[in-house]
Amino acid sequence: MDVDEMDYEQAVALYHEDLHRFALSLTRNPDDARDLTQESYCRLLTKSGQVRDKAKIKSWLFTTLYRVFLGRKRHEQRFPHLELTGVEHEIPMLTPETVEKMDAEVVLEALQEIDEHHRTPLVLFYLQSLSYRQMAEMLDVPVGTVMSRLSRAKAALRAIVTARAASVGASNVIPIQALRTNLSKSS
Amino acid sequence: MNREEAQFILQAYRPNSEDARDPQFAEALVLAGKDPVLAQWFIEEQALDAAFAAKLRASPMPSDLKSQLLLARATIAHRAWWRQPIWLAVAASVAFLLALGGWRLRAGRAEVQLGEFRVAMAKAALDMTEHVEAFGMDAPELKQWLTENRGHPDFVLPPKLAEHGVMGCKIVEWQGHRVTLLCFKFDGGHADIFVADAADLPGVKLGEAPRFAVDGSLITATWQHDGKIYHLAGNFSADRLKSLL
Repeated sequence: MDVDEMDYEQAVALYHEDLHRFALSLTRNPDDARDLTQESYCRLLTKSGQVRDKAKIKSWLFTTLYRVFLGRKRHEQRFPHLELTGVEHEIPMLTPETVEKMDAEVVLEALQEIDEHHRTPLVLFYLQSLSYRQMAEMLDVPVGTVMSRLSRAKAALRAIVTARAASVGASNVIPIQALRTNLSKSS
Repeated sequence: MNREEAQFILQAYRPNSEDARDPQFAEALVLAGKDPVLAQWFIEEQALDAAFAAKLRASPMPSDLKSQLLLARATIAHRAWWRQPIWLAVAASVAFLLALGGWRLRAGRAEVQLGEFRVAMAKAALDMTEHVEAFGMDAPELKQWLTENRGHPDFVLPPKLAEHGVMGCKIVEWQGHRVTLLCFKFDGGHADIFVADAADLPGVKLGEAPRFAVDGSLITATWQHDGKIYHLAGNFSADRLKSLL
């Protein structure tokens, strides 16, 4: 299938903002996020034959962006992979009102503290861009794993945000007790 | 399914999404409808999710990202078009003909000059680094840009072609002269019109009626109007191109 002009313009109009948000969550850098987004659309233009069904353009774009990101990451210096464990039993109390009062920047920074394996499904969850089946295909893991990672990621984000919220009114140094990390490989 | 299992499933539930049709959530949703404690937890969970989602969507968006993505299509599609072997073959064949001294003698200086002009415009189109310099402008903005950049703001387009709007434009240098490139994309096709001052091609005599050239899938039309030479090159069918002029 070739992506014609109408398809492409619709794909840009409908998905580019969420793709950029997703890219920003992965790269943590606005310039890299823009570059990743553009690269994904560029590949849609040049490799549209890979998209067999127009209805799958969105998931194809998200998957492509993620794979481009992973490909580039392999060429970069490797850092120890921090894995979240055990946080699901220590979810702190956090209200929607607290989150609403916080700057978006603070929440986004908190999101960046979560390792990529967990951050990716969490961002996709909030963007509501893909079904769980599509997420599982994209991440190349079973649906159950996506949901497990999501559960841990939500707990971790709440722990970090709770600590940030507390730090505003209390101290500049807040230990994040709920967030434990180790160097084990995630499931 | 107990309450804990239902919580694990429902924490992944996104209201107003296709999750509502996802069977894996069905049983847990039913349980939430029967269990007041689970229902209250579910309401709070969704409220918190909505608050986080709103913050994520509040991240700053580059204002020019959309226009850059749309421009990418024009550039890449154009490259694909010009890089097709037929276009390269045509450019090569025209260059070959120009190199033939005998042909030069027979065709005359004016025809040679017109041929050189066509080859130069083809080369300009092959330059994909900046196929157009300006894009996304309405008619007044386009004319203003061409005025500021010493192009041809007073160009006159065939009405049916003009209806499709100019996608972008650029100034091309040719033998010390300035030529305006106007780029069109519509109906899955692509065409460029090059506008030059007739005085820059002395001896070339063209009428107002387009002179068509057909070579494989390459269609060109060249005509003269009000002191300007217009050269159109597009990948439309001959009949489609003629219907636009």
